[in-house]
Amino acid sequence: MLAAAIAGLAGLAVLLWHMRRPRPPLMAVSFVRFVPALPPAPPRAARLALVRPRDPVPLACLLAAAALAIWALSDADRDAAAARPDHIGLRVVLDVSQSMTVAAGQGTRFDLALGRLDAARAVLRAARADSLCVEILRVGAAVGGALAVAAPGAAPGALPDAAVAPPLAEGGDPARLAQAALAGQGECPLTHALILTDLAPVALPDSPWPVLWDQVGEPVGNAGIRSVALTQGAFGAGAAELRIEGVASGQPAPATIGIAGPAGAADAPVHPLPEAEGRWYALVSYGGAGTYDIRLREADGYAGDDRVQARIAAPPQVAVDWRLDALARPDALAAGSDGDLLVAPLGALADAGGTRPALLVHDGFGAAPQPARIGAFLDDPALLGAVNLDALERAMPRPIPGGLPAGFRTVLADEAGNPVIARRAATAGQGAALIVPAPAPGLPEPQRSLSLTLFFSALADLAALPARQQDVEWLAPDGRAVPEAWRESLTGRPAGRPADLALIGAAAPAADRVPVWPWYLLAALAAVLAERAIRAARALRGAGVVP
Amino acid sequence: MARAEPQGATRPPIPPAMLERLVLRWRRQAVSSGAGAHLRRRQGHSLEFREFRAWQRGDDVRSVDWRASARLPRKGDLLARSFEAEERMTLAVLLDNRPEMGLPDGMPKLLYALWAVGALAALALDRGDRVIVGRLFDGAAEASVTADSVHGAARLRTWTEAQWHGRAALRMPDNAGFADLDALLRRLEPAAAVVVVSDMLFHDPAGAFTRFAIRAQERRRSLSILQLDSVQHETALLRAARDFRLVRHGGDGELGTFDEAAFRDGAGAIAAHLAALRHRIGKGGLDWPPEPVSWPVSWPMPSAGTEALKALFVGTFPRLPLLSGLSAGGRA
Repeated sequence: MLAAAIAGLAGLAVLLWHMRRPRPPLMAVSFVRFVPALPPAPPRAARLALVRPRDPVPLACLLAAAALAIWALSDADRDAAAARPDHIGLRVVLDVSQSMTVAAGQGTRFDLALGRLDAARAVLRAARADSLCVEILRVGAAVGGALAVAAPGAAPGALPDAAVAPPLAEGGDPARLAQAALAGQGECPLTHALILTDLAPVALPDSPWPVLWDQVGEPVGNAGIRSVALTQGAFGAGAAELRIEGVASGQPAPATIGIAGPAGAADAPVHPLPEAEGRWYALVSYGGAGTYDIRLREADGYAGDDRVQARIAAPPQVAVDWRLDALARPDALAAGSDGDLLVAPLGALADAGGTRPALLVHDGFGAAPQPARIGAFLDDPALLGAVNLDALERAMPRPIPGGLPAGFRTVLADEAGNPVIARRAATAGQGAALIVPAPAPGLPEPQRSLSLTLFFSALADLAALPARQQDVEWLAPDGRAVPEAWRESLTGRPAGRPADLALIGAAAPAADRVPVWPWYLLAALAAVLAERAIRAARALRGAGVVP
Repeated sequence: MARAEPQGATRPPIPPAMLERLVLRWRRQAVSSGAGAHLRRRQGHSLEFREFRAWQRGDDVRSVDWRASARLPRKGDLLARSFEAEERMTLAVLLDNRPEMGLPDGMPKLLYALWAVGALAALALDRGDRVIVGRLFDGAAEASVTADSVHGAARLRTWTEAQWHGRAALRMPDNAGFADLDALLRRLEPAAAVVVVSDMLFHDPAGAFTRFAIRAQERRRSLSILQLDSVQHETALLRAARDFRLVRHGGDGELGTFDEAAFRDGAGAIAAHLAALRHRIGKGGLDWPPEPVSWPVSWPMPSAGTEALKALFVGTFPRLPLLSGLSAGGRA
């Protein structure tokens, strides 16, 4: 408006200047003393009068220039107003998990996040939106309530103390951050969401508003404990063990790990997991039921995942429905019933229905060894790993009578192709099963050893329990529990790209509009040049240069 | 012989080639006329040798020095002797330096006059003549300066520049009187040539100029008038302005309108003034051509500007009857 008023006054001044009556010029002649008194000049006319402009063409050029300039100003003002967003509603999801305390320069990653928050607020101020609201959600192990920074219609004020409180001793989860960013809106109509975290971004589902993932913090090497599992030997044949697995991010795996339990304290060596880069494991003997404290000896980037505690109970016994007369049930196996592992002669195949596993035996070995060559066989370490196949060929058992039952697959056959050992894989409708030659402890060697080896290998294969993951609790150096600390172990990840905060202040893309005001301005300049050219041409004509 | 070349605003805008031709024409005419202000000693009288100069067609063949000519590298070139008292004359150029000569604004007569003074002095000095330049009225710098050779040309340049930059404005009260013209007369030798460059519209109530002009023509001296006329040019400017405030001496401006009758009366008064002046000062040695150097008048607007004045000077000065008159000893 001010520009338009100034332009209007300038145009009026130009018009008045062109409409004024010029004062008679002062003239001197060399022969003035010979000039008699001149007739009096006509009465002084008013300086301003409604008369035809004395120089209409240059006047028209200047008036056109003034009008075009005013039009350009108003058009540019419309463009500038259109470029400003009508409303900005920003939700800031602030990661306050414990990994945000990792050192970053002179401060921590949380300090970096607060710095980015300040930058976002500066973008909001510069955007000069007609309407603005900002809320902050602090997310650790859970999503906190929304903290209003700017109410709708107000300018972004100072950050409330609750928003900038130090991080919590909690583990963070990228999915939880994304969930917080896309949660339903409250009093603040949202147009953007900004996630400030040190965790790597995750794929976001279709969101009603743009989500900016701003990952802060440079890579910091760290090793952390991920899980503890109890593995037990089959029917007591081997000692139970604790399998501790962990990760190493941005640094080598630790050399040892310390374990303190009911049986005492010890250090266990750490081995890399070849099938998973950055993963390691350690094995320690199970020392009985009780509380185990496992920790990394060396400090690293993130301390929240360096120590865990777990209460590990005694592993349960395996129950077996034992129906063999030739061999007693081992004491390590409990007496079972329907539904438990069935150990019976091959004739009880019909009882091996459903999902219960079964170990069925046939009368394979005889009193006298029957040398025969082994035919085709599968590489089945669980069954054949402990068997000397040369010895087996010197006392080859008889094949399964009646051939291979339905659903079984030959593991080992004789030279004629008759199955001697067979396996049935576990499926959704049936349990795993094995058919092996019956144990014959009364037979002479090598039949006796071969039969017992095959039988107990099959029994161990079917009776072994999988490793059982234990519930662990991560502890900070000060002893406070850090829920889900394992989620923040990968502090050595590559640094993320900062989000483009300018997108927060950008208005929604409007329909393609080509600004016209530059052309108005150009036309105004052309009018001014035309006026100058006309005057210059007249001056040259008057000087006689141009005829 | 080196030619005197004025510098600055008052330097004559004549190309050197044109000035060269003027010099030659002046020499040729001066020798072939065989009369005039240049005294010749009869043969047998002692003459003071001055210098050798190239012999030009029309020079007296008896002045050729055959022995000196034989030493010239090019066959056919001849050298003539020049004697001290043979051709030396005194040229006095007087400048009308009234404020009115500073008009019209775009083409001031004073600037044309200073160019003419500079050109005449250069021509005379190149001939070996003595030059006196002076002002008719009171004004800036000395009343007159004298130069005997091209080495004195610098003094002339300084003097002309001082006249230009020290010119008075018309609005000043008209109290400028004539310079000491008697002192100037005393410096003039017999047979000297006097040139007055002016519009001749000055007022001479006590007859000071009349007396000077009459005495300047005594003792075989000549008085030449180079009259500059810008009346029609300035009248056209007033006609185009129609309404104007006419400046008179010491006034703020008389508001008036152009009137043909009034300016016709003024032109008549001017013509009467000039006629009366011509009659008063016309003695045997007066050379005042009837046609002055007129400022141009073009329609619809008079052209103006320094470039126009230079064009006027270049077009008129070489054809001035004054030049041939001077070469013949000041008598046509």
